[in-house]
Amino acid sequence: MDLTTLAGDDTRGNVVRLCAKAANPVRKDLLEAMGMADAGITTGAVCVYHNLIPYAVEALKGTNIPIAAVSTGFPAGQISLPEKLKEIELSVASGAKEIDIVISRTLVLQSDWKALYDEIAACRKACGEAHMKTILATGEIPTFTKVAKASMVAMMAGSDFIKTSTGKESVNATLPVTLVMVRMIREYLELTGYKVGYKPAGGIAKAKDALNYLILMKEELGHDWLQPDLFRFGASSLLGDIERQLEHYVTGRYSASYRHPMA
Amino acid sequence: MTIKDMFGNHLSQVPKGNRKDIRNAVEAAHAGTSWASMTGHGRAQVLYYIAENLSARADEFASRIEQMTNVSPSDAAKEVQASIERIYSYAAWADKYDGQVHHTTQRNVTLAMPERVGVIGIVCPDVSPLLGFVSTVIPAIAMGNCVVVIPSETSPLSATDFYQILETSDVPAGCINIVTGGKDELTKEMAKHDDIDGLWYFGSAEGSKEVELLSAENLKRTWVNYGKYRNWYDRAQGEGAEFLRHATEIKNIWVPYGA
Repeated sequence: MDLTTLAGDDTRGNVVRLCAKAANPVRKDLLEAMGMADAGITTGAVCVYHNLIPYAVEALKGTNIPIAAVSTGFPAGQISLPEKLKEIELSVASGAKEIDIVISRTLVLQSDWKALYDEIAACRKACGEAHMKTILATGEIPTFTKVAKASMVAMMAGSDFIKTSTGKESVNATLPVTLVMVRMIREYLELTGYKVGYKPAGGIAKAKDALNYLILMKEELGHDWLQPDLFRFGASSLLGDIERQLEHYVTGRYSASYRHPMA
Repeated sequence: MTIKDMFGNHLSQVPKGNRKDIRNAVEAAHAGTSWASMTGHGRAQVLYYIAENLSARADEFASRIEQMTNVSPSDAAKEVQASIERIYSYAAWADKYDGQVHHTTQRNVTLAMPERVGVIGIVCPDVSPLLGFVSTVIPAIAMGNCVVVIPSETSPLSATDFYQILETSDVPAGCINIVTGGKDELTKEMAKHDDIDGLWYFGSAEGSKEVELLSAENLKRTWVNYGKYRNWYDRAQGEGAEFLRHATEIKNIWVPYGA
């Protein structure tokens, strides 16, 4: 899971709190009860806006949790390419190990696949060593065919992950759109031998929703896509619900969200 | 679950709620933020509206009570009338149950503010299916709580019919959540649920004890009757400050001042 906060009212305070939660995602007494106290469980990454990276760097010192930054004019992506590239470079320089880019939806809507490829490839270059996740914003793409094509272009241009949504569109991650995207990941694997990761984001708030996605990944792509190097959730409140379910598992009583530290 | 009249004739079917239904009802109650954030005055308007709408359908509700409990038509009408009056009464209370300013040993302005408890589980008495439901649910919501209600197990149809009143009275989603079914089983699930902030129980002495025992885990606030009889028609026993006190928490605000 990429534990995420992407809001206009983000401050140092809530980023530091988020990072503390990322390092200790489940209450210690629950982990002990499940015999998982020494498993070293953390979230896959922490995902923040570019200008908050320094706070996350400071808060995650001593952990191996990477910082993901949404760069390239998130969430609408309505800035020029040189600005996007500059933002990526600055994010990487600030300490982001993963970059979530947003594509220009205009190019998808106009079926300008060549330009889309060039844009994503340029971003890939700007990312350098950092992992790149490409957000298609599928809620703003009208047909599955275009989602499939955009997925393929994003993978061809060097994305390490393809990601559904920013979480800011009116429709975010859904199972049908996931099926389309993971089938393109499978096709790309068959064509080239490269494994590309998948990140659904936005609206996945319940442990049960998460299970649905995990089942789909396992069924369509296999066990490798249940691992953090090839599968991540982009989520903010999901972790809280998972904790509630774990407490229910441990105690047999339905849990209250306020009994768990905030993310 | 089949609901029968006194002669064993089939009246209706109601869902047999279970643990998961309680869970879903509690989630819905917590999502009922628009009721929780409404002002006392706003809540009063909605309660007046509920009373008016029940008033308009008084005959229908009376005949339902008659069917379920085999009381005389005049007694059934009396129960509906008492219910309507009770709702009006709490509509008036909704914006008038004020806090206090206390004297303290130090130089403070000390304010005691009544606030909602949160999500309250209510196990209604089995007798007086409509009046018992109204007398417990309405004071709780008048103070801004959202409720999960287990209506009378033997005569739940007044409560389920009441949904039609709520639907036409601008009651927002999540405010009142009714789960029909076995009283003992559902009560236990509510007492064990850590996301319920208060639990009112009107039933047996054993049931009361179990509510207190199971609620201890998350220190939820309990109000039980230990099996004691309460005359719901009597205004001294069936309505008033006792109910409102259980529907609120007092927050004390100390404001120190200088010379």
